This record gives sequence, C-alpha cells and structure tokens, in this order.
Amino acid sequence: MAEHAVNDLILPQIHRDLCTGCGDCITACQPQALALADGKAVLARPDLCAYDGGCEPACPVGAIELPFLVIFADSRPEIS
Amino acid sequence: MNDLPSPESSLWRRAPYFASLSEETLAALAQAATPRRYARGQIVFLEGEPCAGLFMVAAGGVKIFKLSAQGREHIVQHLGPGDTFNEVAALDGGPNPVNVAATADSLLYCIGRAELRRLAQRDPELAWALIESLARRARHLVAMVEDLALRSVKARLARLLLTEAERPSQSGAIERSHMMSQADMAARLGTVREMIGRALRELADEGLIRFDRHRIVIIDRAGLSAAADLG
Repeated sequence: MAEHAVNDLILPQIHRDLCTGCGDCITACQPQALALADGKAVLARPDLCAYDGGCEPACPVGAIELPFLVIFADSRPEIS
Repeated sequence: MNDLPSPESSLWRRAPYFASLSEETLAALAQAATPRRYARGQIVFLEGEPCAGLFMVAAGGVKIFKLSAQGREHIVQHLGPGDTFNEVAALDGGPNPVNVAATADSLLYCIGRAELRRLAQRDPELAWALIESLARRARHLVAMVEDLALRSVKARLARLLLTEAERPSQSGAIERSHMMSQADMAARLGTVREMIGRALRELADEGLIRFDRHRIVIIDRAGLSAAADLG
C-alpha cells in the first residue's frame, strides 16, 4: 500500500479550522499516518495512508474527510 | 431584434424548461439577470431569509441543503451549470425555503421577484416554462419522499453510487465536486456517517463494490441495481 507515489494519490483532507486536536483520529489511524503538530492533526506520513476510512468517523467534529470517486470497474479515469 | 443569440441568452437556454423559449424572451431574461460570483464554500443564501430571487448556475456548482436543529446537514440536491433554483420563493414571495452554498468557485445569475413577475406577465411562454420548472421540482420531491419512507439506507446508497458513477466529469479530470466523503453521502441520504460506513461495508462484503484507495469501484452493476431496488 505504501509503494504509490504520494503525488499520484488523493489524500484525506484535514480542516485545520475545525480540528480541536483531540487526537481521536490519530488513535483510529491503524497505519499511523496521522500525528499532532501545533495542537492540530496533520497527515505526517501520507505514504502510509491506506485510505481505510478509519479516521473520518472517529473525528467528533467532522474535520477529516476522505473523498471517494465512484466509478464502474470498466472505466478507471486517471488523475490528471 | 438581432436574431443571433447572445452568450447570456444561450446560457439561459441550457435550463431544460427554458430551452424552447424564443430568442427575444431569453434576451429579456439575460438582460434582467445580474451576475454574482461565489467562492467554494460560500453561502449564497440562507433558509428563512427574505426571497433572494431566481438563480441560474452559469459556472461551478451549488448544493441545496436543510439543517436539522442539531446542525446536521441534509443535502436536497446538487446543481451545476444550466440548473436554476429558488423558483418557489421567487414565485410565492415567501422566505427562501432552503440553504444554498457554492460547492466550487461559481458564477450565478440572479433575477429578482419583481422583475421575474414583470417578464412572466408580459410573456405567457415564460410563465408556462416556470410552471414546468415547478412541476419538475415537485416530481423530484415526491421521489425523495418515497425514497426516505420506503427504502433502506443500503438501497438508497446503492442508488446514489450508481448515479454518481454515471455522472460525467465536466473537464475529464477528477474534481472534488465529483467525489463524496462518507459525510457527503450521509448528508445526501438524510442519515449519519456511521450508517453509511456500515452500508458500504455490507455492499463490499456482498461483492458489489470494492475499495481501491480513493475509489469506490462498482464491480457488479446488475447486483448493485438490484440492491437499489432498480432492477
């Protein structure tokens, strides 16, 4: 999962203005991609992010979102 | 009157129920409309405020949403270029019935109620087009009521995934407005993130979808249609 080039990926988005720094997402993130910096959650190791959706429901204030693209198996647009 | 359509009147022709209007009527609409620019996330108007007029999306997109007393957002509809909104308040003069926010940097055109009334009184073609737009809106709401009353979250989610996968991208590139977080899905379906997470896992366990990092890949279209109670 970590062999993708980071700039080829769409990553979870953290809204710093909403983040309270409670750390719940960091506990929920099994691949340990998240960390606290200056009292806010940051994606410290984007290369470790498995996009497993653990962080989004863990956040009590909705400060993390993992946007998904919905596609059919026979149509896979690449990121441009 | 010049027979060549102006860029502004061509824009109004993109709305399905305005498409058959004469060039003269479209030109009058275009002349009465004022352009407004909004940044992504900016509120266009709020529910309960005095009528803001009839809007048309020229570029970008907006979401129409309601808020519960606890602040939970329920998205009624996403709209894009060529779509109009707020017909109800523009026609009955009451307060705005919903909240609207830009989902991308957007250019909207707005026609005030008084101006719209003057144009509709002068032109029965336009009045009929507005009635059609209301009828279409009513049909959409009836379908939404049926969905909420009769279908499970899993069935509604299956239908939402099929609809999203069929939605063409404007530019061919992946845009944030074409992506949905679990919170977005919950807001679209009038439920909470936990229910969406559970329903997504069920659909994946049944072999209908799979997760591929930021992609939800529909691997069994017929099966997902059956789950959505469509097929």
